[in-house]
Amino acid sequence: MTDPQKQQAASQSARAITCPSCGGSIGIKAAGYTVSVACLYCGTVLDVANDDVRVIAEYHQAVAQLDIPLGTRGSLFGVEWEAIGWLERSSIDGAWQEYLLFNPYAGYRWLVLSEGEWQFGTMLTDRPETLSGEAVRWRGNLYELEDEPYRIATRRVLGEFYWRVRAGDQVDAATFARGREQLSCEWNADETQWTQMVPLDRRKVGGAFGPQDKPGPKGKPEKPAAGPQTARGGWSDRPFSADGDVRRMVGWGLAALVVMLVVMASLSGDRAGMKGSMQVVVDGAATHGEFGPVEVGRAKQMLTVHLDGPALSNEWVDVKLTLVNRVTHQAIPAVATLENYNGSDSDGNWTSGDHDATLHLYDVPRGSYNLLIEGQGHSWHDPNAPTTASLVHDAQIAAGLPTTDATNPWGLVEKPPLRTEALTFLVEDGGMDWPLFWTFAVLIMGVPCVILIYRVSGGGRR
Amino acid sequence: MSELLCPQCGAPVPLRSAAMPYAVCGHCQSVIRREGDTATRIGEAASLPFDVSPIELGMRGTAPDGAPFTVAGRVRWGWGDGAWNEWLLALPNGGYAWLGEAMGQFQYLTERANLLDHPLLREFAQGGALPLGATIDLDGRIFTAADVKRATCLGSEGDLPFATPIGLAIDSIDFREPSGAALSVQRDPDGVSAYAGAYIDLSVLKPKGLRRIEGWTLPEALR
Repeated sequence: MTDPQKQQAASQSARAITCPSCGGSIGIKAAGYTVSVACLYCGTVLDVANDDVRVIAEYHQAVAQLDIPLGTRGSLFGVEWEAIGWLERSSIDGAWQEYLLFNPYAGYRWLVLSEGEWQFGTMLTDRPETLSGEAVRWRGNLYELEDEPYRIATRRVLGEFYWRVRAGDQVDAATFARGREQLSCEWNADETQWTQMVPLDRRKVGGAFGPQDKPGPKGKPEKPAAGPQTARGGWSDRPFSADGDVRRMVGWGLAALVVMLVVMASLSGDRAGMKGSMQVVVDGAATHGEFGPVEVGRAKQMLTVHLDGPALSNEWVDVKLTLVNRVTHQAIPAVATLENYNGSDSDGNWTSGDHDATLHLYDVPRGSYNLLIEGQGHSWHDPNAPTTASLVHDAQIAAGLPTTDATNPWGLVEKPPLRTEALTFLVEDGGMDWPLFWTFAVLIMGVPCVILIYRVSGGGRR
Repeated sequence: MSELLCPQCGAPVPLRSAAMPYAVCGHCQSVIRREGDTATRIGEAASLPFDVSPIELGMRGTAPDGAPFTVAGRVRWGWGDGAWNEWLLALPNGGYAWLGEAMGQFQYLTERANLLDHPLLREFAQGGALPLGATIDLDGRIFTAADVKRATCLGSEGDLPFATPIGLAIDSIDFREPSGAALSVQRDPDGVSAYAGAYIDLSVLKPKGLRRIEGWTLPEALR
């Protein structure tokens, strides 16, 4: 029962067309669903609903350079998606970007980037119920009107779409919210489409769709890349395919690192420090300490705080640290966990955890600050260790619930006196953020290294 | 599974659903009518354009009511702004259902002949128009006509309940309802047929033997 057609079809996964406007070769990923394509090379919008490819709107413009290049794949929520289409849309409040994701087994989803925030959109096949102009109910939950109806215009398009897309399309929209989740409703004369939007951590997007969106310091959104790009002739002209470019890549990489080193060093300031220590109660109330002053002399300064609990043993300390401006009372918070665990099992003795931590506070404005430290210590018990009741502090057990411990069936607890552990800190006015520097060094130099390895192994032959 | 030979080219034509009176030869695209042991060529079907649908002939699964099915046939319909697939699911005892596939979304639909008594559909069967926004009350639910289009057959394969010659044109109307239930009404040269069902997730059908698409792995939930 083998159909000759089917065998033929199994060997393909994309339909190839040639752009009648620029001659570029375009692979259609969602063949059979895709209705229109905006050429990746010249931006011309093509009708591919039928066998003959027709031009809908001819452009010879520089096409946009995207955060996620079309064709990139990434996994979100356990499904692999390929970015196949991109829209730049705008309303009276500003512009944003929408990527159309496709998986032949799972259909379409949206990835929306607006003001540095990502959202994952799923089109609904059921309809939220309108309760009033201000609220809708969907699957038992209430969503309240967030954005009054507004007009959306599509400014630019790239890639393939399951409808006849073109720049200038307009729809009306309204947004309803429940916490950080949104329902977006878009309508025109012919149809109404509801989409559920859930927030996505930008690191998750970056992790899924490659290095285009690595988190920067403090998770600040990077500027969306929208600069013009010279048209490429074809896939073979992509970067890194020419010979003799490794030296150039390494050279530019090193130059970037040197510049970065100089900039980071100039921002790091002098190293006038302030140090001190406090005692933290283990398994008791949080301990508070106030120290100061910490003087910041430059307009924007990075501060480095070293924390250490040198004597921690099978304990951890949660530290909340706040830098408070003495004049403006502006607060800059940070948190850290110091921990040290040890024990023995069938493999022998082991230890884990770091009893010290280094925090970087970026962009601290000029001024005089107090350092507030709140520390709370906790003890930890190796479940494999033979010790018993004397160290049990679990609230449930203390309440008299039976334990599984055969030697103490009633969970009777003998409370030991509260212990304290020393916590030391050192605040440095500046300091080089070496982990950040090395992270960038690996990122920058890793690319030419990977390319070099790829070529040496013969993978680059075509 | 029995086989017959194509009266046109002699190629074997597998019979996936003995209850279906028509089949399309996978080799020469002949539309074959079966009556008992005789097979007659009555026309030619268009050959299907390439698509990346995850469904294929022979795929098995379980209908929402628990009945096992086999994908026995497909018709692909095209209209001005796109195309969609309708997969024939052969159920036990000669029954069948349709799996509609459009824009990566799926609808499971079974025939509801009693719907044809509805005044709106009677008028439609006599050649009248059925406007966007018209409503039909069924089982206490209100269905609204959300999509009205004229479509032509772009190709077909396998066993089918009707003939699909090149140029076959239909009027197709989709009704939607808040909970995701759906109605589909089609008017072809032989008359009007009506189907009721709902949007479903592919995983609901517990598909076995989804089409392998090069470069993609089957998601865990569909294995």
